[in-house]
Amino acid sequence: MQVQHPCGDPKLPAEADRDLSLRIVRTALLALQTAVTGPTLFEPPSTTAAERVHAS
Amino acid sequence: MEKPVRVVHYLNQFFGGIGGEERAQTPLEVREGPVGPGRALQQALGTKGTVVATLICGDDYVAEREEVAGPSMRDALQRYRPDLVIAGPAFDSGRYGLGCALACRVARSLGIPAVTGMYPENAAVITHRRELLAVPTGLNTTDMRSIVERMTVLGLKVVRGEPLGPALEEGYIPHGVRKLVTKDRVGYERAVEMLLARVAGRPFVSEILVQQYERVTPAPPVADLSRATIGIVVSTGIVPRGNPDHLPGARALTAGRYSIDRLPRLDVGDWESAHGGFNTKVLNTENPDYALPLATLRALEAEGAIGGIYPWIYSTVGNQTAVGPARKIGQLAAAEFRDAGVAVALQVSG
Repeated sequence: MQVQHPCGDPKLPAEADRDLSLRIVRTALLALQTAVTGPTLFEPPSTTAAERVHAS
Repeated sequence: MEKPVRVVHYLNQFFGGIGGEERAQTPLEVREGPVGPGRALQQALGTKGTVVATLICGDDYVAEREEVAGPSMRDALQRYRPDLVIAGPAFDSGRYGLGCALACRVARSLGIPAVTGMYPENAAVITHRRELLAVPTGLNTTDMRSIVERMTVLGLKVVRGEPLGPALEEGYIPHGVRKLVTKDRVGYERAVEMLLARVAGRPFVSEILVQQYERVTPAPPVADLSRATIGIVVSTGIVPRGNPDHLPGARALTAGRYSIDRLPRLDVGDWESAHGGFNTKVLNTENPDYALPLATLRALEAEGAIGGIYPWIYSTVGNQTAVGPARKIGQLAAAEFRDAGVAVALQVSG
C-alpha cells in the first residue's frame, strides 16, 4: 500500500485531521521516551489520549 | 635463494611509539627499520624480506590533511623503493584506517603492491573497499601477531605476482567484485549437495553472499522531552519548492539541509516533495506538512510538550537508497545534532 500522507489524512475534516496528526506525532514522542531492545512498533491510539505524553 | 623483499611499514602515532591522542597531529615521520608491530612483521617475513623503513603519521594529521600527508608518503616511498607496503593493522580505528588506506593508495599509484589489515566495518573499508587489499581483523589488538602473519603471507604472494583467488579463500576483505568462473560441476548438482549437507547438519558454504546488516543498539529513552530540542530528519523528500539542490526521486546519495526557523508550517507554495517512489500529489498540491508535520510539532512546542525544534532539517528521498549512502547521511545529521545539543531526532520515513 502506498502511504501518500504519512502524518495525517486529507480526507478527514480539518479538525479530525489535526487530531490524527497530533496522535501520530505524540506516539512518536512516546516512542522516544520508551526503552526498547529492538525494533518496536508503536500504534497511534484510535482516539486522543493526551496524557500519554505527559507521563514525565 | 631469492633476494629479500624490501618492505615499508605504515603505522599511526600510537603504534609508532610517538604518543597517544595528544600527538595525533604529528606529521609524517620516517624511521629506518621496523618499529613496534614492525618487529612482528620482520619476524613473519623471516629471511624472505626486510622492513627497510617505517612511516609514522598522526591520526588527525593523516585524516584531515590527506593532501599533505599523501605527497609526503609518496616522497618516502620513492626514496626507499620498497617491493611491498604493509599498513597497520588499524583494527576499528577510523582515522588510522584512513591513514592505512592512504598509504596503500599512494603505494599502488607508484606500482607498489600494498596490504593492510582492519576491521571489516572500518570507515576506510566503506570508503575505499575496491582499492584495498585488506586482511579482516577483529577488534582485539592482542591478535597483532597472527594478523601481521596473514598480511605478510598475502603481501608476499602479491609481490611474487601470483593471482589472487576469491576473497574468502585468500583471506582478504571482499572488494565487492564478481568474477566469472567455471566450476567442474553444474549448478543443480552443487545446489543439491548443499541441500543434502544442510539436512544432514554438515557444513557448507553458499555461493551467494547475503548483505550483512549491522545491529544497531537502540538509544536510551529521553528523560524529559519538555526540555529537549528535537531535530527533524525525513526521507519523504521534502525540499524547498523548485528542489534547488536537485535531490533525485530515487537512489539519493545525499540529503538537503534546510531551515525551518520560525516557520509555523510547511506551506504548499514554498515546499514540495521530490520523492519518486510514491504519489506525492497530496503533498505537492495540498499540504507538504503531511510528510513533515511541522504545524503539529509547533503546537506541541507551544504547549510545552517538547522543549524546542532545531531550526535545520535534513531531508532525503528514501527510495532505493543503498545502506552505505544512507549511513553517511545519518552520520552527517547526527554529528550536527550532537554538536548543537539536540537531544533526539524525529524521523518521517518515505
